[in-house]
Amino acid sequence: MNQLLGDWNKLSSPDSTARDLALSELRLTLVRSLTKALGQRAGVNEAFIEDMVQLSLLRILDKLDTFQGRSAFTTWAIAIALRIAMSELRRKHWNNVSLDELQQTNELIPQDKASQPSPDEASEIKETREILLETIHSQLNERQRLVLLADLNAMPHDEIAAQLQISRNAVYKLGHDARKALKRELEKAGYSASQLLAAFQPNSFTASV
Amino acid sequence: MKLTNEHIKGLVECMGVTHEQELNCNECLDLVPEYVEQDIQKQPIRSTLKPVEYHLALCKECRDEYDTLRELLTDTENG
Repeated sequence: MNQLLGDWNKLSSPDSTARDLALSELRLTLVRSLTKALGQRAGVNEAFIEDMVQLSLLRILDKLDTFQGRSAFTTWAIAIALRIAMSELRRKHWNNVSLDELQQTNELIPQDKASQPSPDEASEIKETREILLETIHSQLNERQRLVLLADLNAMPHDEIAAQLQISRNAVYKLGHDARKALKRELEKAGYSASQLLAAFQPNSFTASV
Repeated sequence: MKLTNEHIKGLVECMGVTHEQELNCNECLDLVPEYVEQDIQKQPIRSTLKPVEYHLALCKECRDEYDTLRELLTDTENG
């Protein structure tokens, strides 16, 4: 491990003076990096950076054993710090939007019940809409539907995870399972993604009239 | 909420990059440092890192974090 850490090997040194010095250097690297990367974003100030650096240092020290030396140590450490800080920023931005509210006010309903689709809409698109809605309602569980709905509303996975009290990984898996189900049903109906995307090109609409 | 044509298009785009096996966000983060260094140095991306590309195409949070990391490291490299 010490070899992999290179100059940063003192982070795992039994000598507390050497360790504190390395930690102080890492802290400075993270403060500079987060300030440079995020300093201009809304909600970012010195106190925020300091809090995020503290959380990052704890996470980095906790994960030190998993560092495999496949990149520079600082690249690895900064990637972790950015994950922590940017997740927090997204959560601050979205924490007044409740998933429950989103679900109550945004039931996924067929578009043709709310407004008529264009008469020159390609038949593939009409059928795709029907397949997607049918699959969403009949094959996805409540949480998969919720993640899909939140995704369509651009709600970040960090916030969905916090409100559902699950991990961001678990949110990603719910979305992945939902996507696989939708893809499977479209393929069963003989459609591929590339074929359907072609149907969205303006020329295809003209051709389908 | 209406399932608009934009939603359908977005979902279909996602289907196009959906794979049976995908990395989750933490697995992606574990590989991102190596991936970003190869990307910045314009080295061919190793085949074992391809799943990172797939994940970044689908996960807007990881993509945002990746782009920020890449920009930061590129600026640092360029002085």
